[in-house]
Amino acid sequence: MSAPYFPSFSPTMYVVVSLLLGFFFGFFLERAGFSSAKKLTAQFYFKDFSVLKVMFTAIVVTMLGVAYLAAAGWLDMSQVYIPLTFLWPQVTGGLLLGAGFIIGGY
Amino acid sequence: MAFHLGGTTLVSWAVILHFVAVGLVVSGLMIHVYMGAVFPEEKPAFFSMITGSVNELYAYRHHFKWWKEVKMQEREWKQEMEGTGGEAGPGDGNAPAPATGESAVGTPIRAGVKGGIFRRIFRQPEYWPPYVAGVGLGITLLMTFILMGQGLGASGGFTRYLVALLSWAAPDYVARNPYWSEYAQPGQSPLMSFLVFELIGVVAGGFVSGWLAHRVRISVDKGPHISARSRYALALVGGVLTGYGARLARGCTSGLALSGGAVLSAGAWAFMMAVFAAGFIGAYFVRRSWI
Repeated sequence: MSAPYFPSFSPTMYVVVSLLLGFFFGFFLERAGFSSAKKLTAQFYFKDFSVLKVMFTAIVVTMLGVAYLAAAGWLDMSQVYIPLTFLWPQVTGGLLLGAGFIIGGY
Repeated sequence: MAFHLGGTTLVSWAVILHFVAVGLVVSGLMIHVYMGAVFPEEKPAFFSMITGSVNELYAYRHHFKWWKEVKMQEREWKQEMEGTGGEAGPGDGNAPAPATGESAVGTPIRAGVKGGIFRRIFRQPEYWPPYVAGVGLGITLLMTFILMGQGLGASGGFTRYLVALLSWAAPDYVARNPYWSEYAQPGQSPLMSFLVFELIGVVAGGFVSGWLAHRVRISVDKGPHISARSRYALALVGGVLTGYGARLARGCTSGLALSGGAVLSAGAWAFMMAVFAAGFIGAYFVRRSWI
């Protein structure tokens, strides 16, 4: 059976898997220091680029994994949600979010 | 002109601009050649590209901070090796603390790291190296795509919590509003979604990680030049901007930039660039909050 697996989950299973994935997400974010607003904003003062490093390491790892699994035919990309592109709303939203990021410390 | 765009004025200006740019590049090149090959002060830098090392005088003159750091490390190391303060600076030389000096003998240089492997990995107050945490995060994200067919996110989950609250308080309003009603389909709870449960897991995971590393405490994270009250106010302003921006872009830094970026969504990358652009520009104006 090919991934993604969520259509075959029972509701309980769905909730448990979601909670677990969220747990690891939160765990690794905290491990990387994303819980500190000062650490998050330090990158914008060229002091500490660990946020950038963490983010792009994660993107590259996932990207390679998804690409290989899809090429191997195991991950069915038609079942995977890929965010749609709405260029100008997304650029505007990004500018607003970036400004909010540095003002509020996320 | 290329693609038949623009009139003759544009082309004329382009020619002038081109020559100015050539002039700048050539003069920059000449400075580099001069500094690399001729200027005696810079010669060690040139040779260090091959040998990997420079003499101390060069380091002292050109990279004072680095020189100082190395010196400080050398001094600490000496103190630990000799155990009696070694070539300690003023104030340390006649320190009335032979006991601490004694105990320093034989301890490894990174004295903070001790205990079993679990303690060393999970219970240190320092954050993990970014590349290690990044790989962990990447594997989690990959597992999310494999299991759930979507990426990790945050703002979408909060939206659903809000929709649930709104449909309980004002169901008519939700039904009339095209944005909210999309989340509140009849016969299906807006809370029956991956992101809703994932967010609960995030809180738990973050807490466990922080608790293991002794990082759990109540504090206002801010720079030294701003009061806690102003920091709260700015946090509110930033939160409003962040929330609005995230929903306008259909995702936040997790849901769109991270997850969308990993599956090469063009909009996600445009969003990411915009976030960093605004962050770096905005940083100048709110520097009092952070540094």
